[in-house]
Amino acid sequence: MARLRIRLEKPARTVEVEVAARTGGGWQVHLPDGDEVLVEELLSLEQGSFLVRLAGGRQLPITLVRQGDRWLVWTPDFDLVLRLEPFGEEGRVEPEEAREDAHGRVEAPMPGKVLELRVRVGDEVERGEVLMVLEAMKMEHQITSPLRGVVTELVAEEGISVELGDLLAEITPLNEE
Amino acid sequence: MKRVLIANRGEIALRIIRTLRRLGLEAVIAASDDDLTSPAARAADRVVRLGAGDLSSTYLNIERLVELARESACDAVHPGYGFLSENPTFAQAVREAGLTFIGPNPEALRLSGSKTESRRAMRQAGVPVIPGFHPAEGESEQEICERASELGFPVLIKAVAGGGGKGMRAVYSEEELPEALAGARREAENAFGDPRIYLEKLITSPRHIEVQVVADEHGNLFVLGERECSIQRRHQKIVEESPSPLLTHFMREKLFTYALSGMRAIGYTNAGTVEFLYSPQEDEFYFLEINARLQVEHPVTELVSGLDLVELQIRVARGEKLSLPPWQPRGHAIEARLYAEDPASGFLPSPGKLSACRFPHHPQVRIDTGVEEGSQISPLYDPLIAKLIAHGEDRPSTIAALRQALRETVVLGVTTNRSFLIDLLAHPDFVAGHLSVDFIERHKLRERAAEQDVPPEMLAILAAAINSSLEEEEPAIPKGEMMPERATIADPWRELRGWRG
Repeated sequence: MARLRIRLEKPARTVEVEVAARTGGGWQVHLPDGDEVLVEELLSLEQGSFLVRLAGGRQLPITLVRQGDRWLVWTPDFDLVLRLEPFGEEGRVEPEEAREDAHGRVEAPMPGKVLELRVRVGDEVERGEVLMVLEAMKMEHQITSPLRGVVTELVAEEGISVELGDLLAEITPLNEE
Repeated sequence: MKRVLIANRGEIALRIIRTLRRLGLEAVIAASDDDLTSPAARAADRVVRLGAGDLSSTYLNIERLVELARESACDAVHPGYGFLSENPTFAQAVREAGLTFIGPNPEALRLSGSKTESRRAMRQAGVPVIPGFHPAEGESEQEICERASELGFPVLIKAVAGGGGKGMRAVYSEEELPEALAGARREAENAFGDPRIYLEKLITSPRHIEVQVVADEHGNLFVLGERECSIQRRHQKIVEESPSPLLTHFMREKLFTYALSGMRAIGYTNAGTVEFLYSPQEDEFYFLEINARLQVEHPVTELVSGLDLVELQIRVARGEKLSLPPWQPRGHAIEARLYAEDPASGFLPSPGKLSACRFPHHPQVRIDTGVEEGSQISPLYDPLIAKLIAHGEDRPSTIAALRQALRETVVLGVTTNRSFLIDLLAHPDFVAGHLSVDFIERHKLRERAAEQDVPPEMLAILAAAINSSLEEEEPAIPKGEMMPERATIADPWRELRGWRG
């Protein structure tokens, strides 16, 4: 039996499941809400593709590509990026906390150039307010604040180039009344 | 004509090569250093080098492209779409070098490129244009306000030099006008170096319907049907179809007459598109602009006509006289553009490397793509991955075929709009043909994409699948080896470890 924590990148979400091999083949997966899913068979096809056979003969094709500890997952109706960690009793991280942290960080969603800064350090900003305009792929993109708060850091200056994931600004949340 | 230089890249370069081959013409492709091993470059008979650097030194470098065409003994140039395709200076330079430009004549190209002049020409030819006015130089805000009120709110401010939604502002009342004017001018100045703007009446929830025209150099003009391209995001099309589900026989006749008289009036030659906005309030089509090139969505027309538009372009450029039967579409065709972009974050491009890229093979679905597994979607260019174009007997079966093709398309490594398109094609209003250019906003499809959750059952299945494949490979994932969030995509060492089942 394996206890696994699935971390989805988008939408950010964490789910813990238990996977147990069944005698006679297949797996039984326990979900946190008590539900169970039976995976009867996993046919490995070429190029990272699988055919998953579920109870009742239902079939689902999936494709997996591993990139380090990330898994790029294809299913017919949507694609996912996830990480899978085994976990025991130790080292439990509350996923909510980890996510709060990231909230005030505004990172470059793509490589580009900072065209225009609309705020300064110390400015109070509303959620959704435009912080700066980024130019990438010949288009302008407005970078907005993920929350209501104060601009505590503003690394980017106008005209500079940024890489994917570079810190553009840090917004410290304002305490709501 | 024996040898053609393709001044373009990606799927359209590959698509042009296909026709050149069929016609027994040699294809020479001008490729930047990054594109030297691309599928398009590999498919050509010859590759000539544009070198490295930004666009102005590669695909927008007129001098270099003409020089390469001459050096490689080409006798014609096909510009594709985008880049220099509608640039009169480029067309002129090609002609002055003694080569054939596969596109419209210089005067038609110039007229099509000027919003003011093309609107004037259309009005004179009896084609409705959206009512509006250009503020005179030095005209006061007060005066502009009065004229806007006369026109009637809501109004739309647009940049004279504009395009792509830059310098564009919708204004719903007199009070909003001054600020919107200042904003639009500033944006236009920044984007085009020209702050001039004009105002026109805003049509609420219009439909975008365009007419494909081809004209030879002997005065023969033909209509190759219409395409409805109302499904747009960021003012750019993502789903296009022909015929339009809106048009009745009577409406179609009227629209084709507008397109033909407009194109005839400006002496248009070669393939081109007249774009219209349809106002549901007034039941009228308004001229929007002329696209003096082959369009991204041209395959839709090819599937319902059985014609090859690139071949027609070449035949016109050779001076042939065209003879085409009256327009009679065969069935229905719909194109969906698969982009490396993230619908949930407002359709931001998502450049990166394609770690998987596979398309289904269905007889009724055409796939136009210029990338493959391992290709890099570069932030320099349009993040188009592929166009999937389905052809069916009727609209419902075409939608079903396209949706199924998208459900069998595997692209991993970048965020794509694949699942967004799958949902969009199933939307009841799309299925019913109730389209408008604000379809995505009106139905909050972006918000829905952002909120979309993964069924827990799917997560359970994935956990079992990944776990079992890991057990085959190694006992467990090494602990404490969490990698930095963003660094994974570009790291070649990781790629080498790329797991295969």
